[in-house]
Amino acid sequence: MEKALEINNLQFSYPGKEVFRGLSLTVEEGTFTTFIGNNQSGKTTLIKLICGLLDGQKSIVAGYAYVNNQRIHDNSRFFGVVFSDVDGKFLFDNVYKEMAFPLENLNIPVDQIENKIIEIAKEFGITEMLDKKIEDLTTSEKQELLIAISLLHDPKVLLLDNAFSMMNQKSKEKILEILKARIKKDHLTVILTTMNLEEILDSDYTYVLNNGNIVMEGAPLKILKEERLLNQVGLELPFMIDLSLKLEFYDLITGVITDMDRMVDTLWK
Amino acid sequence: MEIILKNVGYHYKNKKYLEKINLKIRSNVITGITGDNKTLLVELIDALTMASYGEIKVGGLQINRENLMNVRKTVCMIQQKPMDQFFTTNVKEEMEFLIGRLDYKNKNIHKKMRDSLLIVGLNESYLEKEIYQLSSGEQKLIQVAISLLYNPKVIIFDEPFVELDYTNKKKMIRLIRMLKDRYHKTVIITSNDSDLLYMLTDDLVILKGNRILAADQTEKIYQDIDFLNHNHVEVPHLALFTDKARKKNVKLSYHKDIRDLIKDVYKHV
Repeated sequence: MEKALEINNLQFSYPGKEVFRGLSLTVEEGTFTTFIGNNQSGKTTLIKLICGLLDGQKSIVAGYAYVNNQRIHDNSRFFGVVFSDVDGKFLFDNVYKEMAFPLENLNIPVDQIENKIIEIAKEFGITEMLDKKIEDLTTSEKQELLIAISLLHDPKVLLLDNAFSMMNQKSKEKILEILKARIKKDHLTVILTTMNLEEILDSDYTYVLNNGNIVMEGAPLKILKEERLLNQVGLELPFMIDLSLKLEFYDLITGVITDMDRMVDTLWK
Repeated sequence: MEIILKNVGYHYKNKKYLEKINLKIRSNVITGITGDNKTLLVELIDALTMASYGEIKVGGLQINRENLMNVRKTVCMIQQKPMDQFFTTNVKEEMEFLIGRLDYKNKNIHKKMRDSLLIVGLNESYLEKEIYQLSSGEQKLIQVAISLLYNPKVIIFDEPFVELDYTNKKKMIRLIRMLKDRYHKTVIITSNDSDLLYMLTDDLVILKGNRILAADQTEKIYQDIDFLNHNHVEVPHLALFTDKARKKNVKLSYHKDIRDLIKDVYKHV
């Protein structure tokens, strides 16, 4: 498999505060990787470094080129980025115009732009949202829209910084299905940072960050079983995962069940 | 110290935020307040905001403008954003400022400062620290330590758990329990986290719109799931799971700890 992203000995500090002291990792193409950690663990800084908003001093290689903030326009087609905050992320008042803008910037002919937008809207099931005003959308819909926009230019790597934080459960599941389909079909690479341990279940590989260091890495299920270490870095198992793992320990169920109705049905048929 | 609200309301610019609130908060228990305008309600008890009409009594003390100094000595409020509440930048200065202001006479004032820090689980070295350099969890603990200097009978925590990670959350829960059990304080907590309220509080008040929807013992309220669902109130996971099982004719009991629940499930599978 090709490497989508390689980080070698990354060092970074804000004035007066050191964040990363030699972080190294690789992300393979066509995988879903998650980073978990509490506040101050360096998740957002890492995403900003990867997409070139902050300068990683040639320690980050994406595709075939170094990422640094002088060369951001070379990388902009390579990455799609969504941050958790939805305020101030929109330039227009209308959903369609907002979706057309990044494509216009890439010099794509008008008729192709329209086709592309309709295609994406169908994929996300947001066709009826296209002629709405941005201000009429709920926060959850805004986050959905931002993810849809980030995929418009067919990026190789999608970076989601806690991008499900305000999304409702239904939309979250829908988006995860879309992303999984794209990973399979187009070899999209998805990198997600989160504080919610339920969100790592669908990923292929998980890193636990604490104070800029990787304290644990591996398959998500393996990580969830290390409850004590997760607690030490300030993370809490969500109720359904906690319940699943403890019931599995007593051989009452197999695997993790996050839906409560399904859990009750599995236990008492 | 018992708190009684008789026909209390709060209006502002023709908007009715609270209407005809009749409430009795029991002495020496932990009472949770959840729902709309919960912060406003506790502000009325602490006289940070004055009620538009009605009567509030803490013990024998009438809450009004003339009694302000006595109210401050009886009721202490730990606000959600701790930095809003400090006057100086240094922990020791802050303590001395408060002692001077409340005209507090005690020869052993340094011992008292150390002791109150020890109660909240911080050591003497914190006396010399600058407040803005502490984490928000520590700032909240400092606030409690400061309030313990003048020994208030009622302590109100406004959203004590937001922004706290797992470790600090556990510390805060332990402290709140200790304030009730060992120091016989009347504790009021506002929160929207139903799991925590279920685990921690003895009594619960649910506000909806500008009225009280329910006020009773926490267990009684949280085990009436149909009523809560009907009114769109968040239900604790533990109670919800038991309810779902009971609807399938499995005779589970209600538990406040996940380990007890699992033992019970094990018996019934």
